[in-house]
Order: sequence, then structure tokens, then C-alpha cells
Amino acid sequence: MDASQRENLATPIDERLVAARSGLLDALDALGPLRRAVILVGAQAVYVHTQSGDADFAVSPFTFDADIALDPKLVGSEPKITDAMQAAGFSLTDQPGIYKRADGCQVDLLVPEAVGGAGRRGARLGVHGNRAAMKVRGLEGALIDHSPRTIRSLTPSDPRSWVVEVAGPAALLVSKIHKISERTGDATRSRSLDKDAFDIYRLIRAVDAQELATQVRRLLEDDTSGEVTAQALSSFRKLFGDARAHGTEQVVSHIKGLEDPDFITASSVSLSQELLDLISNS
Amino acid sequence: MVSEDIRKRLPPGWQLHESLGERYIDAALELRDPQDYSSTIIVEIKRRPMEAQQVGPLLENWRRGLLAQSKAPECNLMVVAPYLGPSTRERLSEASVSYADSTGNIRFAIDRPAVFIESRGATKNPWRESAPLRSLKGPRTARVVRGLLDYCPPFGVRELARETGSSAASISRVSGLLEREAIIDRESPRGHILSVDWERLLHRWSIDYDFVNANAMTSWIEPRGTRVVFDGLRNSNFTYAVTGSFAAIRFAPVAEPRLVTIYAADPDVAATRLGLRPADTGGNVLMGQPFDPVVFDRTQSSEGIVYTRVTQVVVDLMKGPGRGPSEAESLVEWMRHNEKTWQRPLTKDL
Repeated sequence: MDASQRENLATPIDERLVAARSGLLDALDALGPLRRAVILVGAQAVYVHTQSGDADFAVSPFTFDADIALDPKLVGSEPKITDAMQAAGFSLTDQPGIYKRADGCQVDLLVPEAVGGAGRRGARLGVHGNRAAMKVRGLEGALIDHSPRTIRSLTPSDPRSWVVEVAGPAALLVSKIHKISERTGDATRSRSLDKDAFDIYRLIRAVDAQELATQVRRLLEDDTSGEVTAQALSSFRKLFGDARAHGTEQVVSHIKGLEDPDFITASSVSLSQELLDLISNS
Repeated sequence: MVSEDIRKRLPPGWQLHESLGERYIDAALELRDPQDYSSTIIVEIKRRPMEAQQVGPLLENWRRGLLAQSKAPECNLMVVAPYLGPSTRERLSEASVSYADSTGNIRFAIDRPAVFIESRGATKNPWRESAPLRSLKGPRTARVVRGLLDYCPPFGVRELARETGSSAASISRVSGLLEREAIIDRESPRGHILSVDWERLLHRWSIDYDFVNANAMTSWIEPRGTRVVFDGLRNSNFTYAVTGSFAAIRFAPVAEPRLVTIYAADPDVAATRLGLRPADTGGNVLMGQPFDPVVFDRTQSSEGIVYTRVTQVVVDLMKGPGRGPSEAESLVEWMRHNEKTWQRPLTKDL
């Protein structure tokens, strides 16, 4: 693929990322003082860490969603979450924590399962009720591994920016692995996970392996995140440990026809093994 | 002729006659002293200079032929050739074989009647023609070819020898081949090189050039992509030069490269410093030790990266993997339109 083809590909995809970023900023505006409980997770957080390396790919990052984790300990009582979201045009769907707007923007408010209280899907958030945010397993690391980053609009005419906590690469890696491994074997949902597998590849390729290994070990040692992290590492080895593993195949499937599949396979396996070695040896 | 040389060195009263050859024998001489003692010398006549390694088989041949005729014990043997080199003469002496060559090297030692004549002629073969070059294989040849490609003719052989660190003999041998194949023009057999058909020279070179094997190219991977490899090269302190598609894309519109091809003076050191890992499949770096340091000559630097000269890049692509050959065509097209850019004057550095 030459440069002009790549440009053609990138243009429409970038627009979707621009729209998703705009939706995220709207949600952050709406949450007002609740922002102190916010930790950005999901694809948009991945791109915060990988953007310097993303120019290397023929596939541009894209997402329609903004995933926001809430630390229940820091969630104040005002404003009411669902009211604030509604005011920004985001309506709660029939699923707890999943908000949608007429323009297609979606914001997911999520609480790590370990701190989400009783109940099956909705997090127990006191005055905010049991449907304002969804409990998700695997997000626990975001409560420990995060740092403040400036999130800017991607539209030149929009001057908005917020400094929010963004989950670190180790926490994002663990949560993405949980997402993939929970759904692997479910044929109807598995294909859509290629993008998540590729997000994992983006992370391990862009972030220094030693740094990532140190943070993963920190999550392993923490009471809140230790269990999900250990589980994620075991899944990671199965999913990404060799060229024929399911996760490796998903990474390659995502870039089919755009990048050299042999290189992406070898690269993904090499980076995964390096990370696993560093985690077990450090 | 040879017998004449010996005859005039014999003491007075001695005679030497040629007698007829027999089976297994090229010629025979009869030596007679004043007391009428005589002896026969069996002569082997060589039409070409004789090499030392031919002495053993010749003696064996003689032994068999003469034994068959029961003449072995009393025989005197002699070799006559246009030229006999020092080691050939030494081997013959050791075997008590007389010899004479047409440069004046003579050893004529006969026991009965006893005579000993020795004279020294040339120590170097005056007829030596260097075997004409038939291929452009090999490092010394490549150095000359690169010189012929890189510099703008006309130029003299001596100038080219000086610039390329080649011997004038190497240049003459390569020029000989290229003249026979009508790739270069010289004003006279020893004169200036007037013109070089660089495009035909590139194609001729590529026939004999084996990029992957001559440079012992091996496959490596930088799992974080080629950009990281270039960052590493930019900060490196080892000798290297990038060739292949990444070198070509600076000039010609080739598809986006995926493979970094690197010449490194020490590939193991380079791989370690760059943090590369060996790759069976999916490698994005091809690295090898160059067939000759000429790949590091007249390199070009751009944005902190050292590239081999375009004349080297193009032949590497011609014999390189994947899309290399078609990328070479694009590069040749660029070279056709930009001769002034890439050809160097011989005397001044650009």
C-alpha cells in the first residue's frame, strides 16, 4: 500500500475518532464535580498511550465509544449521574451504565467488579442507584494504575480540554485481555474483538516492555487487582503466546490486506513473549 | 634450437645430435665425448610453459613407458619447454631430469659421459597472459565495476585505480571483459575509458551478483517496526549502510517499504546494539556482512542515516527479495533522468 492509499483509508476513520472524542468531552463536561472519580479506560485511553506509534500502521485507530471507569470511593452525591448524562443528551439504555446519544455517540460508565458491590450487572452507587454504571470484571487495575493526562478535542474549532485520570498501559492491557478471553468461544461476538486484540498489540508495541512489566507486577501485588491480573496473564499466554494462538490470529485478522501478516504475527508473538519473560523474571 | 644452446656450451670435441623419436618419446639427443663415449637423452617437448604440478605425472608416464621398453636404468631424461618456472626447475633437478627453456634456463647434467651445464634465464614467464576475465563475480571486480558506475567518464585507468583502491591490472581485466561485451569504450587498448553504458553494466553485473549469498544476508525482526530500527541506526556508532527499498524510496516512487536492508561491518554487533532478534518468518530487517567494503564507499547520508550509493542500491534491488527487481526498474528510470545528480566527477569530491 502506498502513501496515497493510506491517506484515503485514514481520513474517514479519523473522523469517527474525532466524533468519539467530542462525545467523551461532552460527557466529562456533564459529569461536573463527579470528574474526580473518573478514570478514562477503553480504546480512547489506549490511544493516549499509543498515539506516537500509531502512525506506523495502515489501520488508524477508531472507536465510537468512550469508556469511563468510576472509582466508587470518589463518587460524590451531586449531580445525579443519570441526570447529568441526560442533560448532555446521553440517555441510559436498557443496559446499566450504557448511555447513547441521538448522533450515535456512546458513553459507557463502568465500575470495576471488585468494588461494584452486590448485584449481577449494575454497580451499587448509593444515591445514583443501581443502573447508573455497569460492573465490569478486569477493570480493577485502573483504580491503581492511572495518571492525569490532558484530553483535548480533535476538532480544530473546539478549544475544550480536560485534565482527567487515564488508566495506565498495564491496567488497560489487563482489562482488554479480560474482554477478549471472556468472549472467546462465543462465535457471534468473537469477530468484533479483533479490534480489541489489535489494541493489545498497539499497547505492547508502543509501551516500553520493562515499564509495562513493572506496572503489571504492581497490579499483581495489589489486593484489589491481584486476582484479575493473574488471571489475565494466564489468558494472555494462551491467547498471544504463539503464532497460532487465537489472540495472535485476531490481531492479524484486524490488519488483513493492509500490513504484512507474517511480520505482524512474528512481532506480536515476540513482544508478548518479551513481556511475559520480563514479568516473570523481574 | 635448444640443442644448439647446449651444443655451444659443450667443451671442444663434444658432439650433440638429434636422433629420431620412438614410441613414447617426443625426441632424442645423442651426446658423444671426444673419447667416443655416448649416451642418449630422451626429450619431452612441451608446447606450453610447464607447471611444477605437471612434473610428477610426467615422471610417472616416463617410468611406465620406459620400463615397458626396459630402458629405464640407463636413460637420461630432459624436458624442453617455452618456459619453466623456478619451482618446476627445482622439481626437475630433484628428479635428475635435465631441462632447457627458450628463455635460457638450462640444466644439462649427464653422468656418462660426464657433463654439467647450467644457465639461468627468466624467472618470470614472459608469455603469461592473464586469463581473460569471464565474469564480474567477486569483490575486487565489484570494486572496479562500482568505480566505472559511480564516476563520470572519460577517465584514465590510473585515476580510477587510485580512486577505487584497485590495481591497474584489475581495472584492465574488468575493462577487457566490458570492452569485449561493448559496455565500455576505450580510446586505445591502454588508453582512457571514454564512455560507460552504465545501464548495461548494471544488468551485466547483476547476472553474476548474488545479493543474498554473497553478503550472507540473514533475517531479523524489530517487533516495534522499522521506524525503531532507523532510530537505532541514527544513534549508532558502528559501521553500516542501508540499501534496498528504503534507500530507493528517497529517489524513486516505490511502494512503501517494509524491509530494512542493512550492510553492517559486523552484523552480530549491529543486531545486538539495535536489539534485533533472529526471525525465521516475518522479519523486517535483512542484514549482512558485505561481500566487499566497497558498499561503504561513496555512501550518502540523509537525516542521520547512511545509505549505500544509488549504484549499489540498484544492483542490490535487482537481485534482492520480493518487489526488489521491479523497484530496481523504477530506480533505473530515475537514474536515466538524473545522471548529473548521481555521477561523480573523478577528480573532485562532491
